Amino acid sequence: MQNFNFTPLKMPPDVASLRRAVRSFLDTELAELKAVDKAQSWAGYSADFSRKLASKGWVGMTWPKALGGSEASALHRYVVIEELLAAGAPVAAHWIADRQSGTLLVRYASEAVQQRFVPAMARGEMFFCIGMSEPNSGSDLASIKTKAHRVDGGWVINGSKLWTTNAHRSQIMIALVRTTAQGQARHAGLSQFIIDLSSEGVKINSIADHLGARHFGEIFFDNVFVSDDMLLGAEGDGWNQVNSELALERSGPERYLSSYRLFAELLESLDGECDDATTQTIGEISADLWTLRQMSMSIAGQLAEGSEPSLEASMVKDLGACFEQNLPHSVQAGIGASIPSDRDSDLSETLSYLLMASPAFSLRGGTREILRGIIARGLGLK
Amino acid sequence: MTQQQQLLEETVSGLFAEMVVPMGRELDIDSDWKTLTQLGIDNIFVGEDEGGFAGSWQDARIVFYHAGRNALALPICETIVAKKLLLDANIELPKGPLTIATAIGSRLEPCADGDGYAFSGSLKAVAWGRISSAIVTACRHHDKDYLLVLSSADGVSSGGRANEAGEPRDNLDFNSAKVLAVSQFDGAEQALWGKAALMRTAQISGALDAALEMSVTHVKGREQFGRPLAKFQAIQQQLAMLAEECAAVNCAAQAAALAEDLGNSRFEIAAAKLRANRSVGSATSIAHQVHGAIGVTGEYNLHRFTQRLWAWRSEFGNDRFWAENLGRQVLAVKDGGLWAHITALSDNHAQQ
Ligand SMILES: Cc1cc2nc3c(=O)[nH]c(=O)nc-3n(C[C@H](O)[C@H](O)[C@H](O)COP(=O)(O)OP(=O)(O)OC[C@H]3O[C@@H](n4cnc5c(N)ncnc54)[C@H](O)[C@@H]3O)c2cc1C
Repeated sequence: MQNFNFTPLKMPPDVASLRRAVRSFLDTELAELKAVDKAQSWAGYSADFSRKLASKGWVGMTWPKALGGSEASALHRYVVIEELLAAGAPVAAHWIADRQSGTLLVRYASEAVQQRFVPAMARGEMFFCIGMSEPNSGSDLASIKTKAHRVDGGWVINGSKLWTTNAHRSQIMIALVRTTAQGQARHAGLSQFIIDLSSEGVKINSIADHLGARHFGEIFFDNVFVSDDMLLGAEGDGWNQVNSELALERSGPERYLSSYRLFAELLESLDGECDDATTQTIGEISADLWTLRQMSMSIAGQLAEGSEPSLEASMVKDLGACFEQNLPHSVQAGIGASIPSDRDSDLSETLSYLLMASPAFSLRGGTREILRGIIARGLGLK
Repeated sequence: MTQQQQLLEETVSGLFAEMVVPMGRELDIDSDWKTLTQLGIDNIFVGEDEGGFAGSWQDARIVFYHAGRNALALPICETIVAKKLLLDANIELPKGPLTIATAIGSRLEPCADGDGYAFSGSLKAVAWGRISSAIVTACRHHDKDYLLVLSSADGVSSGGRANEAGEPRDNLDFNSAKVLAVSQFDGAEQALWGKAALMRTAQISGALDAALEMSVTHVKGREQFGRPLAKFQAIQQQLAMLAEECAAVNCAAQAAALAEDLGNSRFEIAAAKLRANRSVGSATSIAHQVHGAIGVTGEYNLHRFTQRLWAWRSEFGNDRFWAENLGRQVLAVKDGGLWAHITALSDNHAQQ
């Protein structure tokens, strides 16, 4: 049977000082932010904040110095991002660029292309979005229809993307598209392109979610030209590239901390005093939280050593999404003797927000069922 | 894993697999115990000059895990923990299988003849109590904590139903019994309970993996509706969830063992045992469900693991015990709240 690797990570010795520096920066920057805005976690958007964070050197930390990064270790970056999430910093603007797009460019793009984008990303000025899902392709990603065909000096792209986070407030998309018609091998013929969203033929609409927030959108490509050097990696290799990106995408601290602000608000409002039932709930949540952090850190350690634990990452994402989705329900169920029910409190407002926002946690980045399918394959059941 | 740990893992996994008591065979404690001790498995924490392994909790975890994974019906884990406590308390190690237990209403007093101490108290549900030669327990006396060793033979047996897996859990009453050794030891009871909880956590992790492995093997082989059960998505999704529980508990046990090696692990052990306990209900339910009727028969081996899982969930702290313990720890955190606390735990480890 497959053995899953969750060797515990020992953090590098100097992380405590980095943590202190990030905390003191956040103490100042987030002083005015309302509790419910902190609860937006990595969906909270502030281009201004992203620029300030970048000026501290905390965006694109692992990228080469020549491209504006600081060649820090992946674990130092991990410490910074978990601090940002725990504090509820509005990181959405640069999140995707920092987490995966920049790393993809560093890995696959030509030097000229890197110079064109990466330094601006590291300054927190250039934001990226991910174009994978389409109207008729969600879980079944290989069925995408958006296609690129060759023309003189480049490619012309036609089709559309849907549910693209920050579509309307990013400059660049990395899109997965078909470069050859779908044949027998479903995963062949897909390629990744860098698309400048100010290009002619691009039309973008934001979409309101059921809370009225506009964090994602739809994008239409009508004969959009991209030059040859905008093909990312090898033609036809898109599926593999996307999959190694997923290991970066699925195990980070954002996969279990999306509801953390509610727990923090709860503990703050209790101020050390509560009944036995609430004490137990707090114990249970803490045990899950601690365990998930150990799992996520273990994967961070493995990624830093150059392995790609994608099966383990799927486990963390699924367990983490269940945890952050259940947390608001546990808090709601326990309101009463100890947990105050004042509807105007920060706690109550944060709870309402997360009850409504949390269904998306097990959809974005791969649904529960798809992740469990990947794990089942790893168990040899498929 | 270090090379030494790999070697240890190979040794114990092979050894324990051979020792699995086949159905109907009586446990041969003498010969099986001899095999274990000849290899020094009970001496994980004992120094190298004394013929031990000079090991860590991370090493001991490997033994606990494989004891769970093979449903080993011998008090090897208890003996290892007992010896570690005695080593920490500078008490000479008794021979034979040892066990650990906490006492209710206990009392320590100087012996009438002025030589040593006498202990009175009830030890309930002592794991392998009567099979063991000596019991390590804790007691408070004149506002000080003591760790002490009792001879099992001095205990008056007052029943004690075996646990769900048929492992002995004996009630033993001591009435002014002379203690074999005693040493002052701050926080003796918490130390004993915490280390024992870590041990059970790692055993639970092993038994969960065994239940997963049996389930995977079974659904690949068993056919219904013309294909293996493994090909049904409902089955695949259930086993993925089981695998996630296995992974979470395995990770928690390893991280808690590391924390125990590095010092104060009150938080980590509480979290790990609670996480392990919380996995037991859904994990055993899934493992049995995918097996169908064969899984609940006496002749099929699944119950050897699920029964232990049900038993170990309540031993050395059930969910409620550890949830309240951990909850109180979290509520007592002052500076910077929970997040500052749990990150400080891992950052402090980093500096060691
Ligand atoms: C907040 C949010 C942000 C997002 N951001 C982005 C983004 O930036 N870029 C991007 O490309 N996409 C993004 N997505 C889209 C996301 O990746 C998809 O929602 C997801 O892949 C599921 O696709 P779908 O919504 O079309 O659902 P469907 O694929 O239609 O699935 C609906 C349900 O059916 C289940 N299902 C589907 N297939 C199977 C199967 N074979 N077996 C069992 N069950 C199945 C699914 O698990 C799910 O429960 C975002 C989504 C959300 C909610």
